[in-house]
Amino acid sequence: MKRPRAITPAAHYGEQFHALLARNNGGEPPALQAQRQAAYDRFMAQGIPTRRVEAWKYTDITRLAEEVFLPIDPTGVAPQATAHLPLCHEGDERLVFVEGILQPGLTHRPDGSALQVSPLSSASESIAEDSGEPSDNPFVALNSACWRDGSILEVPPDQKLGHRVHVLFLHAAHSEPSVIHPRLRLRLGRHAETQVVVTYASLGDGPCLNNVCLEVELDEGAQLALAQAQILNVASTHLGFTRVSQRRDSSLSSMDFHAGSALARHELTVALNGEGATATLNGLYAVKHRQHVDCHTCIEHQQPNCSSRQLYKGILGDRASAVFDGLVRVHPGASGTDGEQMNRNLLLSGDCQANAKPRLEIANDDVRCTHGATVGQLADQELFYLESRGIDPAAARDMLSRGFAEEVLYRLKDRALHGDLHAVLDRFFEEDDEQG
Amino acid sequence: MLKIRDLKARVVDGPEILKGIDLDVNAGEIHAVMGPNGSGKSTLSRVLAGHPDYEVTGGTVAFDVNREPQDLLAMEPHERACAGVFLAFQYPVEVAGVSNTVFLRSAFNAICKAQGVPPIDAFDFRDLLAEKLELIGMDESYLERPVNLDFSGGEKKRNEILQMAVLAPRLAILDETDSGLDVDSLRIVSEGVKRLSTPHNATLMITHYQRMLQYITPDIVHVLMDGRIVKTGDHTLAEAVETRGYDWVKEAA
Ligand SMILES: Nc1ncnc2c1ncn2[C@@H]1O[C@H](COP(=O)(O)OP(=O)(O)O)[C@@H](O)[C@H]1O
Ligand SMILES: [Mg+2]
Repeated sequence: MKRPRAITPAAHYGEQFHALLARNNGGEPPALQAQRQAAYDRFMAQGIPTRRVEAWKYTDITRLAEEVFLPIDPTGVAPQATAHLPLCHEGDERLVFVEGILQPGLTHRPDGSALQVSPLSSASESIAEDSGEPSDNPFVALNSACWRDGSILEVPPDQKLGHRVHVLFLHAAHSEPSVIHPRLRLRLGRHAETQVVVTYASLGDGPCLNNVCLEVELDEGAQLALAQAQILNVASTHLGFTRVSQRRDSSLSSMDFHAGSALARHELTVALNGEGATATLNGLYAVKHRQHVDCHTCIEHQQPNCSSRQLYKGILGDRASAVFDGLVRVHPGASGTDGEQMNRNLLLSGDCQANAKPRLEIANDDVRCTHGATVGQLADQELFYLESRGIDPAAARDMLSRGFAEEVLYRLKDRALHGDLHAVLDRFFEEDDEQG
Repeated sequence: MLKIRDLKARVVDGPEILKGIDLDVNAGEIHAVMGPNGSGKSTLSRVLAGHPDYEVTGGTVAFDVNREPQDLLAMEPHERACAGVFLAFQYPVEVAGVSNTVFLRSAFNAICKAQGVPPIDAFDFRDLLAEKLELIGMDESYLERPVNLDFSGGEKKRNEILQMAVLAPRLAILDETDSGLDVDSLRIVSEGVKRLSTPHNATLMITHYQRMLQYITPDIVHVLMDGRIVKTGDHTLAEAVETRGYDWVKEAA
């Protein structure tokens, strides 16, 4: 018998969903309730994809059909804990969600900030999840059904935020498996500019299913530097879904960083819907032990003269595995498209595995698109060069591995974040050294 | 300081390239090793630095460490560097993502550590770098750039000599440092090398042409052909090679 393409989620998903509805107790607008129900039905109808589905060929999430992750309430994160929050810096505008619920006590809003923050439940229009192409990922629908709290962040037209915005989704529990469905909508008005960092981190050591949905809209000429840092504990599962839509002359600079989770999957879709829009997608994943990371990117070149630049790099150790699947799709009429895509993987052990699948679909003649992928070890010539200067072999390997990461991290204009991510990598390499 | 006896080496599992080299270098001396393309000059320099592509099939190399001769061939590449051997590569390697400063300071401190000297702090190192940059005629903008990445041929060669200036080796082996340098750079780099030469260190200049020898007069000149040193003389030998060619040396030998 052929294996099925999808598996029906276990009954506890339904119990959770109905518990959520009961808890809201009809307090949400009927339209929202209807949306939740429709999303839940979609989730059930879609089921959990097996590896027979092409998009999930290298990433097996079928265990999620059965495994129980319960939503929990935030407890015990005192305001003074802000000093210990990861990747935080003085002067940031900060929104902190714990177990998926916004914590006003941990939130910091500078006086006079032009950023407008409103709860997602107040959104007048529908959730954009089912706009555009249906996702192969049923967890997007599950997020739409089950999100408990979320924000709409809006930068009004012509406003340039002088500070950065940091949104943290924290999971603080120890012991029993829990689930959070972070949800954000980010909107930049015409010619607005800002920098946003979204961090997913664990304060406890309990396993978490972190099921994220991020919607980003850039109006004409808007500029966004968006970084997502996934540093959850290694018992966790991260499923991320980011959809960006860009109007004319807008620009996106994205940094997609993964160093946590037992399994992480991030789908990043960028629709270049206006002429002259540019998207730069940088990514870095560092995984070891038996960690698995899967980055799917999709750039839709819908309009003429847009450009996209992608560089995803991965460092793999031990028995870790990684997938990069990047699709650049040039639609008819998108003349003058300029697309570059590169995925490079560094294997630090003989037992790790990287799968790279760069894809181009071009329905147009007047384009310049390049793509490529490499999987390899540290270069002997470089190692010898360093050693010939007195650097011992272990230090030389370390320096080259960090250099490999720096080749993408140096693109971060935010020096504080650059330092933070290097510090995360330092821990990655240090633990490695301890293992010998 | 360096005593090479009947050194034979090959590319791992390849044919023999060095077929019995004898060479003595004393502190305070500048030697030139000349030879046609493919004669084994780079092989000699890489074997001395411990390059893993090569295999020594015979002979010995003794290098004085604290006035005691040590078996250089038994040392790992980084140990040789820490003992004071430096190779300026004919084709310097690009190292993405590692800045010149970080690279140089790590190397400097690795050597300090091996020699039991406390490491240098970032500020003092800046000063040291500034002084050496001036000597080589490089500007500060190179320091934050990744090592050799997108450097021109000449810039790479200069960067090698900058490293030599900073690491202050006792034995510097310069493999065709003169190729790829324009006339002005050649003069500046040569002056720098000359000034780095002291009674306590030695320099082995490996060249195909004698371009660099216009600026630096070697004490001893060797001609390497087909894996052997076929002739040794004073600086006039270099001039003779330049005017009469390598065939003349072969006939004379
Ligand atoms: N890594 C290598 N692999 C294969 N052949 C090599 C290698 N290095 C040197 N050789 C060969 O050894 C001979 C000497 O080369 P080399 O030492 O580079 O000469 P030179 O520097 O004098 O021009 C040449 O025939 C060259 O092709
Ligand atoms: Mg050579």
